[in-house]
Amino acid sequence: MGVLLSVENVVGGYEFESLGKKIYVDAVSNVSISIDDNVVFGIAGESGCGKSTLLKIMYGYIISPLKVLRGNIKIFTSNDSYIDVLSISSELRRSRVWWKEISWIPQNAMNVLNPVEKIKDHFVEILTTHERIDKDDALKIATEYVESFGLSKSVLDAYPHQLSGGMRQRVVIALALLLKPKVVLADEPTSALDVVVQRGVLQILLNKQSELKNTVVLVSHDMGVHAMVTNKLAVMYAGKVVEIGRTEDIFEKPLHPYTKALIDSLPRIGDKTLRTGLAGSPPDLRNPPPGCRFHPRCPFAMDICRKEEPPMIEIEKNRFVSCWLYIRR
Amino acid sequence: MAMLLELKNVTKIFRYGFFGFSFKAVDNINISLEDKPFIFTLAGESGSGKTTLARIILGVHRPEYGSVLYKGKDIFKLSSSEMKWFKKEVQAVFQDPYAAFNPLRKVYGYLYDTAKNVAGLSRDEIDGYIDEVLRRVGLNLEKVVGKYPHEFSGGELQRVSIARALITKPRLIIADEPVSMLDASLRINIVNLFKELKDDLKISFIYITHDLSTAYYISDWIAIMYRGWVVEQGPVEKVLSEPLHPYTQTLLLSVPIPDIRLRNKWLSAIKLSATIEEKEFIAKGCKYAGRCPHAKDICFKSEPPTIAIGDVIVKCWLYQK
Ligand SMILES: Nc1ncnc2c1ncn2[C@@H]1O[C@H](COP(=O)(O)OP(=O)(O)OP(=O)(O)O)[C@@H](O)[C@H]1O
Ligand SMILES: Nc1ncnc2c1ncn2[C@@H]1O[C@H](COP(=O)(O)OP(=O)(O)OP(=O)(O)O)[C@@H](O)[C@H]1O
Ligand code: SF4
Ligand SMILES: [Mg+2]
Ligand SMILES: [Mg+2]
Repeated sequence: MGVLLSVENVVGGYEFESLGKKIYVDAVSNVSISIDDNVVFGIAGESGCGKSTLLKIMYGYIISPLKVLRGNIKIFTSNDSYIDVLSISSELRRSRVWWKEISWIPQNAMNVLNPVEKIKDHFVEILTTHERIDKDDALKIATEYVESFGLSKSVLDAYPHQLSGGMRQRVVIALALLLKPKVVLADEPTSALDVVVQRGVLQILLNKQSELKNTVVLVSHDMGVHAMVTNKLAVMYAGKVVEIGRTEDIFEKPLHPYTKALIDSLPRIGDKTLRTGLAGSPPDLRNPPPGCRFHPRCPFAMDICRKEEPPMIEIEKNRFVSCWLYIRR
Repeated sequence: MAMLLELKNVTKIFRYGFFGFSFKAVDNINISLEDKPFIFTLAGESGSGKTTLARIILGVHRPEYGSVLYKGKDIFKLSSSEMKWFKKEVQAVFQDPYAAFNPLRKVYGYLYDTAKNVAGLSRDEIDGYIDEVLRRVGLNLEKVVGKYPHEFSGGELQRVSIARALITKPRLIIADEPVSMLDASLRINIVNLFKELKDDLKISFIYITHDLSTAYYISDWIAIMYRGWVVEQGPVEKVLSEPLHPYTQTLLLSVPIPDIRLRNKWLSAIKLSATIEEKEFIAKGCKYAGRCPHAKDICFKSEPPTIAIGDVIVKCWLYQK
């Protein structure tokens, strides 16, 4: 097992003008993560903390007002060669990298299917533009292929709006996996679905992952989903990654105070005892607090937390945390 | 006891797709809620008709069949003064707070308008009252005045929309997935607020959600919907601890649990439907029969009866004596 996708010191955010003022939203603020091959890697964190922005940058989908100021995204093709996602030309990215090496299921992807095209046209288009396959063969491939996602052939002749949310989401996942990319970025792929359909869709995603032995990066704000599905987990808060580890270790013993609060605030069926969330609300990323970005809400905040940003340290093998509580000074 | 809300045989028909094929998005629903403070959860499948039902109760959709009584009055037959009263009594909070406010208009304007036009307050009462209401949701006038929607976080703006709903001193708030955009920690704060509002201000809630854990945590009563039907309703402790309907059972097994030891059980395979699902809306027997592990012959042939077992009501052939 080795590193497949490497996110290195990435700084990116949204730059625009509003009421004559220049504004920068510091959505991904110096993030480094290395992701192995053949894993389901989770990204957790609350609404607005930068999860989708990080995924867009990983995919190299940089459209104004999004800007990447610094950092690299590398997809390793062997031990010492890699694709530098952010610096290759956009033509190359489109023709050689997207769909084949890395694919992206955007948030609310159900609505990205073209409403005036039948489902089969979506499959045919990807197959004919990226592989040397003619239309008839493409259709044959698609027919067999969709059945492996538990969808009947008749789905191919339907328009997107004729399908339920769960079916559309399976179509979107099927499209993302069609050319067997090594990395699949899935942004909240099930958050609009009920839990039964969510469970079915995630099971299909997991089965395909173990079949293809590729890597799935799964963004979800639902900690329950991470506990059920991911092998490793990165927790984000206000544009920063604050903790990375094996999912079971994080649930067993969360290190960062934010992670701990997240896990402690989850109610369980069968338990009505009072739970409390963190006081306050997440910071405005146009003007994030100095020091540790969590300090205004952290029950353990110390002087240094208000002044200096805690570095990310590896405190045990495979356990990373960015918090002054774990740094002996 | 007098009833706050009664839905009697409520049916809403939508036409779907090209073929103009119509189906019952809400199919003959009966729900009665007593006039005391409660939190009633509406959960179930996506597309099962929860939002449609909420819009019927708000008077936005008119059902083709059946009636909706609020405090004994048919809400589709209100006089104009009764309509004014109804709009004060019943308020709504939606999933996406950013969609509920115009991005170019300051948030305070909405609060002001509601206070003036719906609650009928006079100009010099308004600010003090708005401040009081904002404090209930953990904000205050100062934090809100002069700001546009995008200057609030999702959790804050959701609290502003709850405050707006509170301005008219409602008796009932319909909250359609009010916390699904929020992380666990903000989510628990909002549902705690609902509980507090129920206890202190005697406001009742219809809480629509996919999150059965918070549903268990705050609600008194729950209804589970499947394809336009309420398949099971009863006290939340009973329905979520000993579910009777096979769909409720699958639903509960599918809740992702923040406990890694339960992973294998959760991963035991389930099957999703393979064909265009709208067909199930017009199936003859039980709409769940195609997927139900316990289905018998009769389930495919005729609609299941509604059966009361203690204070739980279940719509399933398995419980027919
Ligand atoms: N196009 C945009 N222009 C300006 N700001 C943006 C834009 N898109 C996102 N942002 C801001 O960037 C920050 C990070 O947003 P992002 O979408 O990455 O969050 P997220 O973690 O994916 O949240 P969610 O869970 O709600 O999807 C937020 O503060 C958001 O308001
Ligand atoms: N205005 C409309 N016209 C036609 N069909 C509609 C309309 N509104 C909703 N529907 C359909 O009615 C069914 C019920 O929709 P509804 O939005 O009430 O479901 P829901 O239970 O709220 O789902 P979710 O959990 O996904 O929010 C769905 O099949 C939906 O596509
Ligand atoms: S660095 Fe300080 S403020 Fe930040 S999480 Fe750790 S203890 Fe809390
Ligand atoms: Mg997102
Ligand atoms: Mg809905």
